[in-house]
Amino acid sequence: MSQVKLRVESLSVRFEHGSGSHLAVNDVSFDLRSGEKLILLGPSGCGKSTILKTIAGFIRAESGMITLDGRAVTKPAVDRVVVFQEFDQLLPWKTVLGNVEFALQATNRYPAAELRERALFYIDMVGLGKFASFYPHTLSGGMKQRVAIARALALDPEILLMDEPFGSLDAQTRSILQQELNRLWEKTSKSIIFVTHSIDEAVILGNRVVVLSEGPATVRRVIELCQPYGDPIKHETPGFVATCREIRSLLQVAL
Amino acid sequence: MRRFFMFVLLLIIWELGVRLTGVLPIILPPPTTVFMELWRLVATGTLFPYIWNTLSILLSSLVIGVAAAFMLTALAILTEWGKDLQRMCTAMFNPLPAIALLPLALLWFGLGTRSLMFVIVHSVVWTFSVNTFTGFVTVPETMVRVGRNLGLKGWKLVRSIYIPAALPYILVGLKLSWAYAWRTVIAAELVFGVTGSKGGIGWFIYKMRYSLDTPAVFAGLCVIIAIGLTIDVLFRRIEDKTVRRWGMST
Repeated sequence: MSQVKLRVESLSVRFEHGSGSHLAVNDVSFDLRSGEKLILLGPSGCGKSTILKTIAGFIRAESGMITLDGRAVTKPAVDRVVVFQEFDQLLPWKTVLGNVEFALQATNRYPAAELRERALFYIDMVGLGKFASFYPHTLSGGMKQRVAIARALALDPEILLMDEPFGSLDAQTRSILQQELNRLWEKTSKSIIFVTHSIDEAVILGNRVVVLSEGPATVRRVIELCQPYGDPIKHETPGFVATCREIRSLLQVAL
Repeated sequence: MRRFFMFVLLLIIWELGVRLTGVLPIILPPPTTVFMELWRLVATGTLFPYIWNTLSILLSSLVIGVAAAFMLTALAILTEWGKDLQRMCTAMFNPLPAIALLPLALLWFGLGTRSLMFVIVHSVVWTFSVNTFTGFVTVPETMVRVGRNLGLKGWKLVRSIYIPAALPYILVGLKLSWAYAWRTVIAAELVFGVTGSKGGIGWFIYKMRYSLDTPAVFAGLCVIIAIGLTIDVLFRRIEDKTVRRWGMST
């Protein structure tokens, strides 16, 4: 079986505020295997996003350990690239091409001569080749998220962290982008952690689903999805429906 | 177009008013006289050294003031003590009219360019810093995280994320700074007149009033208005090319 890429061990996160503090994540452990799509699923405000931001290095853990290929990680770096939900993750003063080029350039990993070609390759990959010279404010929400995904893939991270990237999109665009993400994953075989509160989305995208409890987040159970449901036709099959029902009942226990 | 007609109408009323009531030209010259005087001053090149003196002092002070404000504000966004320092200084000095510092400036730097620059820098630094800081703190958290994700920190993060993201506020700050500096420099020139051997437009107006050359006083005022309007157009151009083009205008 494939090896462990990222390991989260008894992670706890506590937020301090004026009068005191509250526990957002309580003793959470899970593994991300190399090349899999792992879903963090839980009700809104349960702390799943906090787990992702801690992995990204934006938030400091109170206790516990996060290791990437065996090395402890605590600070943000390009080996863990985040795709956010918010559209303002694109820099409005740069074009689509400019956004991807800027990211590549900031890492100092690629020779200047290769930047443009590499950026265009990934912009093409998400189907936005014609929009390379457009500014973000002229693009639709779905296109903006595609650019963010292209930028993340171009950076060739060890793992891709996706924080409800389709959460602000309409249902139709969301469904198209879910298929798109599956396609991109097959092409690039990236290891992905994907945060969502949508059961459907979890089952459509995931290889495995970590079901989290109401906050402070604890792991309810990790569900292995043996057959992929990426194809929309399969969304009507008994298997898909049964899996969704199983997860729903788990979440209800959590409540 | 309508504004142009209004402008012409206003000039006609002024002209007729002066001619019909017989006000002394020394008190209020008719616009035709003013324009002829302006034309003469421009044609003979008399005005240009004054304009140049004012603008060069103004621009160098603006550059110094803006650079100092940038440093102060970058410290404020990167460190806690920097934030306290910036808050305290701007709260204290922003309400202090620059002109009020003129006597002190004269005491410290004497009668000359350095005194003028001191008060102009003062009129720029705090306003610009307040606006830039507001711009910095309103930069979306996500955008900053994108930068940190790429491994950017410190000055690099300020330069490639904070400054462009806060550009709408920075431009407002620049416009205000320019307006304050412009008022300050003209006022300061009027108050203590000559700056060394070279005077500016303020000094020119003061000198012309002294010799009761009222049309020249008006011509000086016209120049001040014209420069102000030009700068406004310049700012609009910059906005069109940047924040408006990027869909960031506030």
